[in-house]
Amino acid sequence: MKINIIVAGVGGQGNVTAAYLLGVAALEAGFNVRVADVYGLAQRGGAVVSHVRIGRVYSPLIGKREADVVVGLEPMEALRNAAKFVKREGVVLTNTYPIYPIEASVGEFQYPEIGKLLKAMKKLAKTVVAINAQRLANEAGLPIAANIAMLGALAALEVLPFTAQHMRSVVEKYIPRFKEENLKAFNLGFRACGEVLSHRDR
Amino acid sequence: MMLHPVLGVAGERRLLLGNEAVARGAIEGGVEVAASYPGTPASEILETLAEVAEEVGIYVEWSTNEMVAWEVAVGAAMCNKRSMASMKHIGVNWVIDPLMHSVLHGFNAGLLLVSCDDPSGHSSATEQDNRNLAYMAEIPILEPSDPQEAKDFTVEAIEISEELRVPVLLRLVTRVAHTRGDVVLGELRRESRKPEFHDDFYTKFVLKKGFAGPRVIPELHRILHEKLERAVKLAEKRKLNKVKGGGGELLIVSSGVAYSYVKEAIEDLGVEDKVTVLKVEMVHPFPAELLRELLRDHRRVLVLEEGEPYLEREVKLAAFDGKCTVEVHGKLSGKIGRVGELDPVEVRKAIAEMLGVEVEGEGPSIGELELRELTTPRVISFCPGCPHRAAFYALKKAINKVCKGKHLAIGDIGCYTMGMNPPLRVQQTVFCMGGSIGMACGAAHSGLDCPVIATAGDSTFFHACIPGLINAVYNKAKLLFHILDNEATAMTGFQPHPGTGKTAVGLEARKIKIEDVARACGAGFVEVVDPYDLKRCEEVFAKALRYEGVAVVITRRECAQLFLRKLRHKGLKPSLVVVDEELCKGCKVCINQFGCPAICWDQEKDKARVDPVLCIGCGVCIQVCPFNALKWGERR
Repeated sequence: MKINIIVAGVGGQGNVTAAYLLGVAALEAGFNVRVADVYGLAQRGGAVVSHVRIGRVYSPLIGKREADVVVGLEPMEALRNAAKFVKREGVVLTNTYPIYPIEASVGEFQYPEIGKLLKAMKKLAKTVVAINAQRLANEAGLPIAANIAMLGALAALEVLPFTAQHMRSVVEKYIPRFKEENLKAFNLGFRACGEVLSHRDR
Repeated sequence: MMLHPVLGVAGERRLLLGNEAVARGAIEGGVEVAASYPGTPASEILETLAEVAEEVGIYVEWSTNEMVAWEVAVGAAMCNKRSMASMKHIGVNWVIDPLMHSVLHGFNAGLLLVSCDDPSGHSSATEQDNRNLAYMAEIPILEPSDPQEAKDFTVEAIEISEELRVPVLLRLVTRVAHTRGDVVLGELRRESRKPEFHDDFYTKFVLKKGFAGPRVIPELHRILHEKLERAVKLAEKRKLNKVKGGGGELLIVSSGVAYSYVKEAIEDLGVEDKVTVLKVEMVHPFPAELLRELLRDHRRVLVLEEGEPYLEREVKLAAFDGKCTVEVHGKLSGKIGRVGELDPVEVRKAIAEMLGVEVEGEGPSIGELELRELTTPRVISFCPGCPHRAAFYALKKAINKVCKGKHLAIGDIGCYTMGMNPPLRVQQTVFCMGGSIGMACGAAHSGLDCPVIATAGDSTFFHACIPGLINAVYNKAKLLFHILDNEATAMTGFQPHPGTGKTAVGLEARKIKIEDVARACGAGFVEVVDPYDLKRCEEVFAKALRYEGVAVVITRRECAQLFLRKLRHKGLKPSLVVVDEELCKGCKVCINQFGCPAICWDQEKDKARVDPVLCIGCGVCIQVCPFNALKWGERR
């Protein structure tokens, strides 16, 4: 068994934390784990990608088009990494809340409509699930918890080799502050993803 | 209170970062003194040790630079304490001078140099392979392939160093240092050794033959070679260097993280019985005899390694010496890319090709054109609220006023290097730590027809700028030295430095003020300003640019990330700036000239908009807006 998950976002979104929590959950469920974070020079604003590998794994990196899931904390990063990593039969789970690169504000780049980004993702992967994790985090009372909402959504996809309850307990155990808000964000993400999936199935 | 992850009991499985695993290995290996200077991807080694230093009873420090860190480790090793200095690959460049000396001595305690190399330069300005530096210094090199081995080899390296009485290099790369993996912990060693000076150099040379000259140096060099010969035998005894699998005519020689790619590729391809792997763990001195034995049954060799073709050369040398006729493939033969980081797919393809095995192609992707239309690379920039943005904004205004925008600014390495990026574009070039002030002196004396500026950060100032500053004053340069002081080594994760008044373990220390040092170095113009006060900053810069001599301007304010972190720790939320849509004329000064990522453009309204998630409420943009459209708001 081998599961490859890419977590992609923008510096400051809690990308590394989300990947770490996934890794801990896998380890505590008894699996071998590799989590590799790829970030550049900036603490904030730069693109961040974490490779999370669970099961019979040795390499820290996921190869091109070998990810079972791409979790995008930001939609443009979701597409960028889906194009590079997701398997045809894989899943792209994306937050719809954009973080505009400076080029977009300056006017050198037109940030695409979210619909266009999702359409491109659908060409790459069999399943695309989009939720507004930022709205859910705000609703939970902690705007920086969009990453945790996305973890909740990931747990609802039923691709992880452990239960959503296990993932939730790891969030509870390892997040030191604003526990209540984080758990609420997790639950909201879980529910939102479940709703999207049940709509699709109908 | 949860136990620190690196302090688990023996036999426990923990998810550890490669660097945390090195820290755990250091404790298991009885290291009592550890020093470092922050640098990605190495910082977490000392950070972790600092977090547990009190509990474990060891001494750790952030040194002012890597050379000093190494010297601290050497000093402790000569006093019978197992010691270690850790740093990023570029940091080792500083260590070369004392390292070349220390390899000729002999201490009673193990002495370890940890280098975290950064192929592809994810967070570095070079992708040098420090196995080549250790080869020059003629010391043993160990190369772990994953976090578990990062821990285990740290212990091995310390013990080998002590047994051979020579420093050992532990070489990590980004994908080991910054990978988390499951690590089974070993026994913690907690005894403290009696401090006692001993140096073979002193007892065998200083007292008998002298400290230098042809009667001494070649003999010291010969002893070093003897130690390396013993290292080969020691590697055998300790079962470092492993032969895996068997069969077929293909031999793969690999080390470090490349081995993890090899192992997975062989399983994925299902070719376990078609290939033999020599996993080299002690890469210097190279196990030439072991290789030659394997070459009897293998006619083709594929070398897979991260960095330079280091093993590949060793393989060729060993084959030549053994008169073995073999094909050797790798980076030199063009089978594997010569630059940049290895990729697991590239490794799998190379192995499959050598074996004539078909590999599945990648699935279809969307077109390059479509992707380029929908995505853009994110240029890194200063964080929202960063004091450096404000400082450079003011500096640029002063440059425009005093010298019509013409200037040459040479940068150092740190967060402020991002001043090279749009929209500020202050520095034209960047070199190494401390490089800016030395080079600015040369540029100033070149006769260039515009002001010369050197930029540096607070930690960089203490690291490497002081000789350059004294040199510029002494040699009568006319330049502006702008020190961007954010009261932390920010880019690498807010480690303390002599200007912060805190030690690595959080003890109060004497705060060393950059302005005092600059004055003591003889600078005639020294000013400290708050970068959030744009008007005052601009005035000071304008004066400094006109100054006939070395002008030092220190813009000082705590890093915005640190500020935010402390605020959140207290459970508080930052202030907020909002746009008054009535007043916003859509001039975009706040975006095109100031460039705070929290300010974005509302395409529908043609007006600026502040993203409340990103805004930290520094309020500098309020001073920037020519129409007073940015104002304080309320957070709901």
